Amino acid sequence: MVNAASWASHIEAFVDISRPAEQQKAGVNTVAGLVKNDFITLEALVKEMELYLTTTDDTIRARGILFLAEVLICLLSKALDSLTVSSLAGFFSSRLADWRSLRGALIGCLALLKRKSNVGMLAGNDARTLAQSMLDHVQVQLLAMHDRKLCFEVFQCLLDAHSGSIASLGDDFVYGLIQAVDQEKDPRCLVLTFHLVQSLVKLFLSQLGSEHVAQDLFEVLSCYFPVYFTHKIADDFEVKREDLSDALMDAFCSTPYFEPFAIPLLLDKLSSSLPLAKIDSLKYLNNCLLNFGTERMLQHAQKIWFALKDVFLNPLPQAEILSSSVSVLGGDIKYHEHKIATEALTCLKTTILQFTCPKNVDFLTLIIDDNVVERSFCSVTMEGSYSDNYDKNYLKLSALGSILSVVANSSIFCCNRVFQDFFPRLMVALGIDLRTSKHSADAYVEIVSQKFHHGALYLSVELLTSSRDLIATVLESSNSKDSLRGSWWHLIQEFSGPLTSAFKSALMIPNKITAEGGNSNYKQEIIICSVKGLEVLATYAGEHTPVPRKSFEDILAVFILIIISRYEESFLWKLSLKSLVHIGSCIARFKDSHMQMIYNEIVVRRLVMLLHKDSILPLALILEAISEIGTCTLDLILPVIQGLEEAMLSSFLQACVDESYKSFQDLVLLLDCYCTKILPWCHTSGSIEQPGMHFVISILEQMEDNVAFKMKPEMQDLLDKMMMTMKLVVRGCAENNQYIILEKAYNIMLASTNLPSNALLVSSSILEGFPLIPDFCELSCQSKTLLYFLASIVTALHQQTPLTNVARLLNLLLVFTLKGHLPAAQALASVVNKLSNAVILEETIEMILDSFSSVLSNNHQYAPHMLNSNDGASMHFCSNLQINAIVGIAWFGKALLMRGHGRVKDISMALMKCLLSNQNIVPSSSHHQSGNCIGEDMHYLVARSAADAFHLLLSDSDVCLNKKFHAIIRPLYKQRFFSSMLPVLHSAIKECNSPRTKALLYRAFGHTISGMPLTVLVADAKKVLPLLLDSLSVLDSDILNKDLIYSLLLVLSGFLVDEKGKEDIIGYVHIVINHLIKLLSYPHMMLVRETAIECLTAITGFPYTRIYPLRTQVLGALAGAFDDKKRTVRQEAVKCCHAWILEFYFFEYDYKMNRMVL
Amino acid sequence: MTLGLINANPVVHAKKERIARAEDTHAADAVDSLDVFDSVRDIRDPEHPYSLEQLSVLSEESITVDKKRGRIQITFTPTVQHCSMATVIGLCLRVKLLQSFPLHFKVDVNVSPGSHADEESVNKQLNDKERVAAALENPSLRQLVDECLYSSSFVCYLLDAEGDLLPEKSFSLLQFRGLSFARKQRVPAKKRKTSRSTLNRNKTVLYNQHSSLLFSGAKKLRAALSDEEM
Repeated sequence: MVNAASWASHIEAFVDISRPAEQQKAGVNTVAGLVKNDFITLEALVKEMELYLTTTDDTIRARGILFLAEVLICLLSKALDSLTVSSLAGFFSSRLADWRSLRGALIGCLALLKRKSNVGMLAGNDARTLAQSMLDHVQVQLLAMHDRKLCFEVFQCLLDAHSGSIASLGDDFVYGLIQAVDQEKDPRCLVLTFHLVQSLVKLFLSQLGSEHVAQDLFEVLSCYFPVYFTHKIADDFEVKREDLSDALMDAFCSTPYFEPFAIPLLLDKLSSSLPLAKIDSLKYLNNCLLNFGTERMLQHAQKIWFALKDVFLNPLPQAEILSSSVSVLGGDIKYHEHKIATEALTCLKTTILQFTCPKNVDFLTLIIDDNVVERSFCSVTMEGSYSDNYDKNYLKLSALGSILSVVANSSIFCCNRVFQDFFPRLMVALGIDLRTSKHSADAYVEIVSQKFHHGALYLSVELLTSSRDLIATVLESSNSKDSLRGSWWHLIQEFSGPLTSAFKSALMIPNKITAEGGNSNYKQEIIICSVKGLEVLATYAGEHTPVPRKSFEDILAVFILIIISRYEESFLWKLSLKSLVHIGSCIARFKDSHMQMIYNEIVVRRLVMLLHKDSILPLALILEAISEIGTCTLDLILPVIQGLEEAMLSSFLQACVDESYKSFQDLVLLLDCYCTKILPWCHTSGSIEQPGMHFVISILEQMEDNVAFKMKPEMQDLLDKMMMTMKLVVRGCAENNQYIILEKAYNIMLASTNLPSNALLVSSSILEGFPLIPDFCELSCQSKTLLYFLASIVTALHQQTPLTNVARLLNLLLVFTLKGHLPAAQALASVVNKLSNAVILEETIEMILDSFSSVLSNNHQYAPHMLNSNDGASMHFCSNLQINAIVGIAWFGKALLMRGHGRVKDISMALMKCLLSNQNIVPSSSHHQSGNCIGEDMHYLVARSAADAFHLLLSDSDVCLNKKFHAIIRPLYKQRFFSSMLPVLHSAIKECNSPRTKALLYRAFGHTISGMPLTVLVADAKKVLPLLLDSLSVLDSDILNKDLIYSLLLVLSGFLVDEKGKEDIIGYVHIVINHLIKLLSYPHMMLVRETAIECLTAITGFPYTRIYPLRTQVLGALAGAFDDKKRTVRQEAVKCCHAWILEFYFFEYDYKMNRMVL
Repeated sequence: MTLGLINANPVVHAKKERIARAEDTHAADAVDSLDVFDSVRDIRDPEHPYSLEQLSVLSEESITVDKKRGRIQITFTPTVQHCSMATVIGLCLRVKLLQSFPLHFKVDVNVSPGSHADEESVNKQLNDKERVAAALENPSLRQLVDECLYSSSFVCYLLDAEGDLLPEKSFSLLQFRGLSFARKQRVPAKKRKTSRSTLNRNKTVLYNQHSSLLFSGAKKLRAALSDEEM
């Protein structure tokens, strides 16, 4: 037991309403915790609180009761004995009469009612007393919203948990509740009341059968229908219109006893002009049909059909009323109309399913024999009527089409009936006569081509579609296959041949129609209908298709003919392709091997054949078609891949051996298609083993055999594409296959280039063996290509792929890196990035780093040994070598940086050393001898490429070292590099006194910061900003730096708009403005000028006093920009000028105002 | 007290859609009449909350540009014959062009023949350098011109005595003149680069700061005005 004084203070705090809410809440929790852990008993608490609970001071009493109630809420899971519960229930029930402390009493009741049976539930008679007290003393509708809500919750709990004891209260309770919920208007409460009525109905109508209250209950509900919610912003109430409407719908449909009241109301509202009312009525009607039971609803069948028919056939007048009355909501009308139509269709389908069975066809007959349906059927299928009044007829047609298709779609029985009644008539309208068609199909085409029309075409397509969908759904839901075939099946079987020809002929003569004066819309409609019709005929579910094999073949032949020969009519071409794709995936869905074979034979094989021989269809279109069709299912892609690979191989040979320009262009297209469509599909579907591996190996083999291989310099594009393809193929292969490919490539490379193998073994110093290996020009084109392919394969390897002769491979790549072959450098970097063995890694890094740094450091020592020519040439050779080494070391460094290796530091130091190496050389003047002059230039070039190496290090590459090619990438590696390099660059720039070197250092700095996230830069703003501004001024003289300038300007603009960056930049604002003004006339790049102006605009956000002195300067410079030769710059300048003028205009204005007021 | 407006009930026309120019990366874009029209079409009429384009005072056809001789000629049509605001409109056009085009262009502003009762004197007044300069030195005239020019990029707000916003529609020039106006949030220009779009986004923030600042001024003004009335 805990001393009472210790927790009594909490009660005191709670009762005192001036205390903060958090403290009161904490008090409740503390006391509840004490009770829960049995430190105090509930009796003790109540005894202690006696004074608070019984005092005559209204406020204190109310708070006291509320406190007790809140504590009880916290104790829902604590077991209490029945006596305690019972006495508490008595207390709270009696307190309901005390309106001043009603809130606490309600919460207390709720806490008791919510108790579960295992922890001591409210007894039945206590619940009844409570309910009686609620009915007697609480006038719900007089209360505030929150209290009303609590009342409804109490009622709900009573109904849910104590229905037995409530039932004994009988009609009193029902009418009491009706009184309580009547006239409720708050949406939050309404959701509860709807639910309440639903529970009430369940208890009293369904279980107790007191039917006489149904009407009264329904009256309470009916006044809310349709839910009209004027409150636009749903968030305020946390209740949306849809929630309310759904809750009301549940209440509406809760009992069949509502039927005599609900259905007339719904049918009445269905004819309303308000779209929401229409939608809701349809939705409710649909639900009522499902819930009220067929017998009760049958009496309304006729009325429902008339109402629905009205909705279908007369949508137009209502739309007009809408657009005039609710012009503000113009955009919603289309949406509503669509919604109404879909709801009506669902409703019709439910109705048919409910009312129609083979024994009772009244409703079906009602629909099919309906006068209006009949009349509109006649009018739309009558010849010539169509073209007169296009729009009106179109609406009628689509309404009729949707009615018929819904009816046919609902069951096999209905489908039979609809087909029997309408299909033969449609065939007649289309001019199909079975007797003639049986004799000769060819003669038939002639007849049909003279007269066909859209109405009949459209309706027959709708019917076919619905029957097809019906089969698919029936097949999916059950296995009873015998009942599938009815009269509809035989009708289609009979007519499918002539129907195919009819659609075909409609497709063949569209030009004639336009010549006769029909509009182009009409022509398109016919094309859409016919293509759809053919597609539907070909997509019946597998073996259950009523379409004979010959028609299926015909259909495919029609489509493929269009694909091959009518590519100029792009609309038709696209539609046909889509249909073919659809048919292909449909065959795959139903797994029909027979149809699959036909499809393969007719479609895929012909398309693949097109790849090999010259056809009139352009290759790009062939590829589009073949990739679309191939990627729809697994079985289709295999021949496609094979065909593509063969085509690529042959055109590769033609392009590289026979030097055919056409094959070169074709190959580029083929490779594009292969890389962008086929390979990604294979990788995502994952069902094909090693796509493309065969292709890569055969390419390599072809290269091995072929000596007459040529790759012209202008084919660099092709070479890049080939390399990319290789990479993409290899990256998708498993490790062992990668290994096979790699071995193959490596061996072929060694065999065909006849490199002296010992040269590759000298790992101690690569440079000694260096001259032994033939140079660029000596390398045959074939060897170079092979090397590039090998490099691409290496680039895309997995981390786990075993490498057998790492040392030799690395040496090979290293040598060619030094010879300036970029792919070799990238491959080298990829290998280093992915090496998993730590020992080998360290050794490798050591070896590579040694070779690079020896090339970079001892400039002149070995050069003469290699080349015994004149001084200038050796210099040239030497610096070229160094530049190559720098590119190599940059890629190498990138690889290490990405995997977070510590040796990056050495690499960046080496680069810095190169950068600073020409610092001490005095710029040459004219009297120096020319040799020196060349030397300096060479030095400068080397240093510049060292500066650019920073760009390589920090930019993202899509050729290698990325996620796609399995690189190891540690997060935030760029940031890490930046923070380690910033101090180095900073001090180097400070100490440097040669202007050329300084420019290069700034260049390196620019590359370092240009891709960096802004937050990193802002954190180091003190160092970054001065350097950034200096680099802008230093670099802007050279046209080669324009991209760099642009990215630096973007960094600067980032500073200008960042809140924290602004604080830092404010001290430099005059320098910034001066720089920006200089850049306004930057001649080399429009984007730079534009961005500079935008930066100036952003500066207007800075404090007035800072920028005021610069105003005239800025405005003067902007006036110059008005004369810019690019329009965008001029417009931006005008905007910026306005911003500046207004900036000061506002301040002066405000200043004047203040003076006036003062 | 309300003064009668000169044209109380003008005909309002629809705004034409802006033509997006194709960007040619290499060639220079010369100034043409559409450029000029684009820069002046949004000037607000001194009397009504409509732009000159909406009131059909200006059209693209009424502007000619001669690149070789460096001349821009604008002919505008006042809404009514006796419009005393014609000179103000002309002044606005002149100031706007001065602020948007290089100084070497010579600008001629005229009312279209037969559209104004006092055509000759208006034309004379508008093309006389001295008189234009003198007009712009008149503070109240200058304020009127500025309001016409800059309100196109703002929504005009009316404040009630507590400094709360009144609905946007209900203002006329007379109410407007004494009160303040605030910048409208512009929709960011089409996004080209990420950091450029952030630049634009922050512009909006800047403008918001402005408007709060203006409102403080306007509140005081309003208080002053209501004092005077009492």
